[in-house]
Amino acid sequence: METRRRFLASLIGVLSGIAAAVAARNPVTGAPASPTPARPSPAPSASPSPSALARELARSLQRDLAKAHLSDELTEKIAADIDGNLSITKSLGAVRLANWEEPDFVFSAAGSDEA
Amino acid sequence: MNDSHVALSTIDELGAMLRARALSSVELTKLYLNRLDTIGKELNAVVTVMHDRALREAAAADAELAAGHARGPLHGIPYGVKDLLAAKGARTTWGAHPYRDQIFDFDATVVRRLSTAGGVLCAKLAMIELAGGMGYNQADASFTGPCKTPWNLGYWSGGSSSGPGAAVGAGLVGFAVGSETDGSIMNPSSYSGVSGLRPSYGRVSRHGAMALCWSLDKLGPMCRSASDARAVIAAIAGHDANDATSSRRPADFRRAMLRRKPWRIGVPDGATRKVQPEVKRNFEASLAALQGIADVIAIQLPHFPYDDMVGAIIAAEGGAAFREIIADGRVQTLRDPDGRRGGYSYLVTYAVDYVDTMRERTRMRAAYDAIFERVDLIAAPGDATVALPIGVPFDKAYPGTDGGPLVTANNLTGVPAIAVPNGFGLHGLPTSAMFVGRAFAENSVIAIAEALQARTDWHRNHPTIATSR
Repeated sequence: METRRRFLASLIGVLSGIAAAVAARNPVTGAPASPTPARPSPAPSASPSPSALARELARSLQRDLAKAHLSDELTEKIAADIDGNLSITKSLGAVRLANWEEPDFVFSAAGSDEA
Repeated sequence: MNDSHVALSTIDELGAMLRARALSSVELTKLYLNRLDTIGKELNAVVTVMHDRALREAAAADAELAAGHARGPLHGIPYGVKDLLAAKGARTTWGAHPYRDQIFDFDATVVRRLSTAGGVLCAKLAMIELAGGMGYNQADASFTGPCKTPWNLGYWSGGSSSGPGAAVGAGLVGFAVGSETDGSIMNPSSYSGVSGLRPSYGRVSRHGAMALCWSLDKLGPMCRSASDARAVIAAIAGHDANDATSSRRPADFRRAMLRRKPWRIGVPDGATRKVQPEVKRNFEASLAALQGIADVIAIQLPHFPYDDMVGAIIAAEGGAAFREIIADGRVQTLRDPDGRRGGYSYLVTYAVDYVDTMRERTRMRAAYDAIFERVDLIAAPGDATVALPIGVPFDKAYPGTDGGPLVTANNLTGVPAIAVPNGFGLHGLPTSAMFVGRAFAENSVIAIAEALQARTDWHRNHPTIATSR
């Protein structure tokens, strides 16, 4: 879980360039305490043992993406990333959304001409 | 006035020189081309210097001026663009090894509009590979190497619009255009000591720009003053049939009428709690400088899982945008070790996470709209720290600092912001103040920055590498 949070935070931090803030949090001991874009630190090293599901998903990528030639070592790191990914479901799933709350994008059958 | 003074002038000043025939656009362009070739390469700020096109456009600008036809404030002004904008016949590398030889046969809408305004395209400027979309943890995350801030060559110019920040700060161009998905104009503007405007989502067409996240990407000016940013946004904003997300809202950026009532500026609780002391001091001084024209109000930002939301979008949209090079392994040729790997986990992202994030954005927009009922603007430091050192992993550079969620929140809600220099901190590096407005209120954020720059002269400070050459 923390892995994913750290990985996301790392992405946010580096994209936003607020990477310095990354160092604000201990990369080993904890996920961000607040929803702050901060940590560019990648997750894998902090997660020594990816879950079985993450490993299986990573191995499926290794099998399916033959052209990518994913090594076992890289696949293990990807598994750690995925392990973190899986926690996003808990985070986002914890927010209660009413059935009728639409996503902030609307498909238009008429395409851009209608804009 | 010597060459460096000319090179570091604002658009207003350069335009006045051109219209007074104190110098020609060709002369000005040659000055900038020389600086791009020399200082630009020293800073790793440049991907391609466009000598032929620049001199051709400059000569055309001069001919029009000689004939009494001035197109506007950008007429004859040399500029550069982040190397994710297509320019016909020139390499457009997206900062990344897999695209180092990519050439398009058309101009991006922004480039076309700047040409129409009389601008002179001089350079494609360095950027973090793929705008950082695959992740990175070091300054050396571009196939052109780490881009240095002109203020101290041991430090990074910021990202992902690294080259535009460094080039404007060092006086290598009259202005530049950068892009932001989640902070990539604000951060390099802060680290390089320039005035960067991130327009509202949809204000500027992205046609011809690399897509990282279709629902987040914005293009905006990076300049040597807020007034310059006003001139550039006026030239590039507006609906474009080639970009369905571009807005049809009126794009009138003439200076707003003087307000009779003071601005109400909201400062988020904790905005300076974990920033470097010098950043805090300079931010407080900026607010003090606005005393008399602005009332400062403490506000609380609403709680949302900002990190997870933007992460879900980057994973889903960024993964789709670069699925091909992830799947075929070319992503593994990126410079940054994290970037070589990051995209793979995107391919197993849950679709429901992305859709729920987009549902939450609707709710988030309403929450921020409510804040903007109470205040005209939100202010905070543009970054928690000064520029990061080159050669040190980002997560090791400045332990204990944290800028808060405002930049990510702004990008998720698509509202405009400006970052302007407001002093100096560690290692002689610049700091910045950031002002955020409600959607499509670019005039307001520019106006408050202009007011600050009328009361301070931080934007008139220039790095030694720029003034001595």
